[in-house]
Amino acid sequence: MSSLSKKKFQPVTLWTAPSIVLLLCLTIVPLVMLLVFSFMNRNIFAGEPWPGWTMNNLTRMIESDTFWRLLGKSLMTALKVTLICIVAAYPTAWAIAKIVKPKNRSIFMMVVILPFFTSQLLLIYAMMNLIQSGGLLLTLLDAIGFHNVPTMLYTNKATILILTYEYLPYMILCLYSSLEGIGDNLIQASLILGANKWKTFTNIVFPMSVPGLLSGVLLVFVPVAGSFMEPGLVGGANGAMVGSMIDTQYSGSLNMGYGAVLSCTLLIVLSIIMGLVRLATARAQKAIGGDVE
Amino acid sequence: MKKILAMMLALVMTLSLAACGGPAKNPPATEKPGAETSAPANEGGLPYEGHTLYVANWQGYNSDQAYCEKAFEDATGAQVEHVYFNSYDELMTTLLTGGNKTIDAVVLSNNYTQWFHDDGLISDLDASKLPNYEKIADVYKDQAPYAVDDTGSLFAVPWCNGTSSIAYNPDYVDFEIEHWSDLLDPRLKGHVMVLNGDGDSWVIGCLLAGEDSNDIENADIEKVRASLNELKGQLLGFWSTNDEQIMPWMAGDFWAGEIWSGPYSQLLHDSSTNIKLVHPEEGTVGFIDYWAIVEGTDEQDLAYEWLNWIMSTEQQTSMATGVSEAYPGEYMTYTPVNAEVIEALTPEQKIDLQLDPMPTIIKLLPYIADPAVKDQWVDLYQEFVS
Repeated sequence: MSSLSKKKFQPVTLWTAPSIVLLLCLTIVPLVMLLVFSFMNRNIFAGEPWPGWTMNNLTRMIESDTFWRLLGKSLMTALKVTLICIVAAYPTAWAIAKIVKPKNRSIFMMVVILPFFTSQLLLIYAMMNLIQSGGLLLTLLDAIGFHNVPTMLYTNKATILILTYEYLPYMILCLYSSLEGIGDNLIQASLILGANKWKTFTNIVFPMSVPGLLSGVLLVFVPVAGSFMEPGLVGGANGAMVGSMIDTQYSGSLNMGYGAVLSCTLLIVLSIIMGLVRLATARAQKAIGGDVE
Repeated sequence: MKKILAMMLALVMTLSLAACGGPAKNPPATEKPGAETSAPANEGGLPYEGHTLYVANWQGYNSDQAYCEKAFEDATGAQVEHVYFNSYDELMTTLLTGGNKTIDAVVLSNNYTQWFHDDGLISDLDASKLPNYEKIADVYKDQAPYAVDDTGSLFAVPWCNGTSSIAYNPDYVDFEIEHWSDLLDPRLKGHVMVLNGDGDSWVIGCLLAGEDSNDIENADIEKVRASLNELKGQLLGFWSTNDEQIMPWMAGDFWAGEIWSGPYSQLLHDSSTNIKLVHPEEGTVGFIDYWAIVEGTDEQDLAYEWLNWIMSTEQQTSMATGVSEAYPGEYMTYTPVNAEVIEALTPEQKIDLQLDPMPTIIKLLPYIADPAVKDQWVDLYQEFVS
């Protein structure tokens, strides 16, 4: 009896303990602190031992046209980048999972993750060099007869391009892991039983790839919505996103309380959106005969 | 017998430790050693051997170059460790959460000194312990409210300064730019860039609107807002670093706008491009960077030595004329504050430092003490850059 309870006890406590501690220290505690700081006055540690509670941060945020405008813009940018990533990643992931010979897959996967070996800032600067006036892209266009093409650098299009470039590998990896798990016999059976390729995709492939798709959406949409470095570097005069505004509160204005309330609101909005996406996907999947794992 | 021996041994050890205890915590001021520090020389050794001074600064910003750090170490025997920060918020958080145990001296821009002092993070200074303070040019000395508080106490010493004036590329701009309002010319639309910083935005906005940024708390914020909105329509984008100025300039996208002295001198020396500097008569944006001693530091005397050193003629000359070791080709052109060094600058160096032509009026980055007023100006800045 005692050895049986030990066996049951060990996995729960010992194996999950590191994860629980990490989760607690790196996720739960910072989130709670962020929430608490949202209702504290200016800099949390400044001056007096206790800066005092305030609703000013919340009121200021609600009344800020700039914040809501930037939030809307950030969500739209994240949506565009996510959709472009899905469209670009699906065929790539499918090709690697189903068309490329198994022995060559590792080479293709290496190509996909190659950008991770370089610093994010270097990737951005490399892309800036490519698309700036006098850069490789415009020089090539000029050489083939497209003269005086204006650079897309310092526009929102450049922000979308660079964010897509940065986050596409995440979507490919997520979709690949799902698509690779779909048995070839399942697809063959569908085709043999009379379903055309589109029907096979909508009824078999897509529902079974939804878990990977959801992971990809999560990994792309959330960080893109909160990004501030890329819009600052390439977005031009109207490039700022909500992440830029949050960054200013911490790095320039030294107003942690206001920065915290902006961060919390972004977090809540993103959580709601992700919840809705999951719900909608589950319903769609049920309607076409699958179920979200 | 054993007890007596033990007591004698303890006594001998105590006396030995007292004798070889290293430099005194507060060594008396004596004659200078070789370099321009006021460090007292120990008999047979350097005065601060075994001591470590922790200084906080932006990475690559002069003080971590050998001509500053190593020269100070050679003169005092102390070891200098740089603690780098990426924002003043980060520095403030570090100090507020016990950083005074690890950081002894800090660099602060003029619009942050008073803030850090009001929060009790930096200490008042005794000018008598800083002989080189006498060498500071009068224009930078005892600047209130940036370095001296209401009671007349000094709490920061100037180190270097710079201007962010207007530069334009005559290859693309076929008319003379003389005022900030010239940046609103339709011919420049989409080719103007300015710094992404609240202080700079406020000063430029005030200069465009005819408001006084030195008295920003009483400036008409709506007039400034209207001016900044107009300027925004002209902008290609904002820059924050040297690269972000040089890249679009070289690519031919950035024709006119605000520029730091470092990138200006770099572009000035690049034969493949053209650049002309203007100090508008209504004023130009400027900053002074200061050093201060962290309140509660255990190395106060050594920190004084450091502050004295960074104002010295030797160090200020290196700073104004040196070339970065970490980034070869990048000119470290920061305008000195030491009167002797300013006097000794060559005409070429004055051009590099944006001192030829000389700015007529410098508007320093403002400090807004009232939190409610500051929030309004921060919101305005946010609106401008978003």
